[in-house]
Amino acid sequence: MLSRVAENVFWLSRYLERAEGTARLVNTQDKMLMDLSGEERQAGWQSLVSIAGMDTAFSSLAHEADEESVTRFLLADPKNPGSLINAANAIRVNLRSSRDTLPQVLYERINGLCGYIRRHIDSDISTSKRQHFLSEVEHRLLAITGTIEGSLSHDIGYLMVRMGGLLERADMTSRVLDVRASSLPSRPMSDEPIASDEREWMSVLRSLSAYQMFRLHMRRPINGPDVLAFLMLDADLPRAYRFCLDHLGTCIEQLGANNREALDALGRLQRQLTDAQLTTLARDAVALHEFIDSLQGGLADAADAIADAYFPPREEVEEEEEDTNIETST
Amino acid sequence: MHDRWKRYTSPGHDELIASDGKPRPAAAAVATYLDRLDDTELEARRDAANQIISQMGITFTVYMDGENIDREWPFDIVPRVIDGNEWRIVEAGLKQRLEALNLFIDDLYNDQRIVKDGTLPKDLLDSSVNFRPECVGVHPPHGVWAHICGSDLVRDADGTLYVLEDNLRVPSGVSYMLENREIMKRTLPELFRECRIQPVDDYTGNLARTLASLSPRADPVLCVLTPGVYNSAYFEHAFLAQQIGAELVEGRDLFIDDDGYVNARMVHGPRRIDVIYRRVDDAFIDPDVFREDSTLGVRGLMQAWTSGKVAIANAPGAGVADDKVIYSYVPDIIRYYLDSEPLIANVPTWRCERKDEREHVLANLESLVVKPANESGGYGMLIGPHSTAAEREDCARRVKADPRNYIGQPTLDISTTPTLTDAGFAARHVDLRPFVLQGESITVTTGGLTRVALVEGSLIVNSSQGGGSKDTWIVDINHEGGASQSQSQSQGQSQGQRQSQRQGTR
Repeated sequence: MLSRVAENVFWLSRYLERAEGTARLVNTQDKMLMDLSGEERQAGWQSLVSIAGMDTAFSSLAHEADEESVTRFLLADPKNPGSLINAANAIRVNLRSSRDTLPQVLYERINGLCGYIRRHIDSDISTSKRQHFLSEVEHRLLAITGTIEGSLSHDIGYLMVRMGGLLERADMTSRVLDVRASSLPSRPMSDEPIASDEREWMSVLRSLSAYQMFRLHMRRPINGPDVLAFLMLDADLPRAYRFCLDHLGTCIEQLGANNREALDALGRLQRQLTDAQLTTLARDAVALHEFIDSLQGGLADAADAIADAYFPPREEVEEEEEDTNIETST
Repeated sequence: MHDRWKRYTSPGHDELIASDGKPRPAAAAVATYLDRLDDTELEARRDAANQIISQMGITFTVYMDGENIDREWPFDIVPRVIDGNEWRIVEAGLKQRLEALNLFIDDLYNDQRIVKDGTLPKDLLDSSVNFRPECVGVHPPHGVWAHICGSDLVRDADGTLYVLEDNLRVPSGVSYMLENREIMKRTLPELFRECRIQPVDDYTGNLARTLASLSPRADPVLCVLTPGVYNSAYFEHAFLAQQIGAELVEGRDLFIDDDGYVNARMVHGPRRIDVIYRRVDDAFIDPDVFREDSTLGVRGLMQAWTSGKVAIANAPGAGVADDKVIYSYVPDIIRYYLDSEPLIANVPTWRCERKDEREHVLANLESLVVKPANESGGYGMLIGPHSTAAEREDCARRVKADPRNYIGQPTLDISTTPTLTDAGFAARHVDLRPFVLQGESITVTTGGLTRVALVEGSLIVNSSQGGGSKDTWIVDINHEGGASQSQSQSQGQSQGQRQSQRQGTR
């Protein structure tokens, strides 16, 4: 596979994962906020903007974080680089460049998803239609994941898809935990369940598709430290931070060739995670925030090392020339 | 039955319906079938086809208002049908034509016998903008320069089929021919059970074989070189690369190694490329030799090609025969190299560089078509009967300023096929672009891409200017007059069926 195309496939997968994460996050938050009072709701909507890491950009665009402004910002605003519509556009661009390497059935599904998002994004994000819209997006993304598993050879392209998805997932998990943990500043996390905390952590689990698995594997009431440990350290949960790192390592090993630095960067990150005193961190929101911050830095380093090993040298990735009439016979 | 064909009229020759309102024999089955469907059903089929096109992502790219926009491929569900017996002659004629053109190009870049013998005027060659001196003395494999040729055919009012032009540089459209069949099978599957329609999907295998035959290595590595995702034909580049198992590369993905071979930058390091199917124009393929400002090509590619370290299809310089003045010599070229008469006619052509012919053109601008020698896509063309006085004046000025680069042709009364419009079936003008491949051997697509001018009365079929396309059927008919039914053979009947087929082709 060409280095350039490998990079396109990698980013295609990252944006697919981002779209899925965003859709699920908004959908689960939405349902949870229905149970809260007006004031809590507003804080709840603001926290979604924080998870996206877009507080500054958002405040310059809207006065108030409410349902309308936040959902529009996260889903339909082209000025928010992390919005669903921008993810759909980025998916389209990367899909074009990697079209020849993907099975047609996969191409059709991804193309169909982008078309669906673009057709419905303006009309279907109001309260009444939003749940249906987001569920449909999520279902289509799940079908795409299924098609990847069922029709793509487990070759370099597949490993690029895997790596892109795992990196994006790890990133999303850490950002959700970061914001959720800091949104409970008045009460240090405790083992004693408090009803509103329990609801909040339940929503965290749901937004990462981890609720039932938590119930199944932890067999304890939902509480902050356990949720944190589960989402950070579980080796079997597909969206757990550790799971993502472990599988990322397997992909890099399978790819071979010139992978030393990528493996080293990943190794450092894995050690950082296993060495962490999560029970202590769970009781100290500030220290937890710093810890997650350093994880995110380490993850970015690992992503850079992967790019150095397998993608075209950065200075060669220029802006595309716009040549529409080079081909003379049409 | 809705008796639609009795009410249907064409301004000239219609490909499907004869002037008495009866379907032509090869089209009988499809015409009868379509007439059985009511208006609602026809519309439903058309919508279904459009949905399939959108889902499959069959697009072409247009540049508009500073933005590249993907347009969905305009498609008409009424197929264009050609009788198998006629097609066999056309196919032979197309092979003859490309074979002669390749002998001609090879001669031009080597001995120039045809010039020395006086069949082709020397000054014509000297003034050709597509003659590349950098290619002189090169001997590409099999002596073939134009490996992929798209020739445009049109039929005049009297039923004669003409070659309108030969595209020997980077002809496009074949992916749409293949996709049109796919759309048709999904949209009107019943028809394929009723008619014996020859399949078209051998093209990609033939393309892969043709390209592979250009390399001395056993399992050569092929690539398709595209200008990039913004090119109007990018869809086709990706499609063909996928179909023939080639890497789809851009110039920046390739480099020449220390031994002079072409390599692609792969995830696991460089990989040697044996054959490049390039969809980038000559002028852009190597900034060291041609346009310095090109970012689409590969530095050193020409050197690699001239020293035989990589094969390029079509070969650089092949466009010399793509000149519309050279076109007017093709019948002579066929006679000169093959010592045989052309099987498909050329459109009568006046060359403006000759004084008497130029005067004829200038005096008859209102009835003629005037074309620049080296443009394509319908650009810079004057269609006399549809022109304004100002356009004719402008054309006359251009012709006088640069007579070598203009030709005149009679305005053909191009044939039509029924096309589904908002007002039911209506006649729209069509052309046909078959694709001919030459490497070690020559093959022709079964039919080709039928392009249709969707605007009433228009003769412009280009997709960039309001054209659409149709599936093209080559249908074998027997003498009873109908398209033969396709049936799976069983032991008991096969004998008799084979006999009836033999009778049919007699």
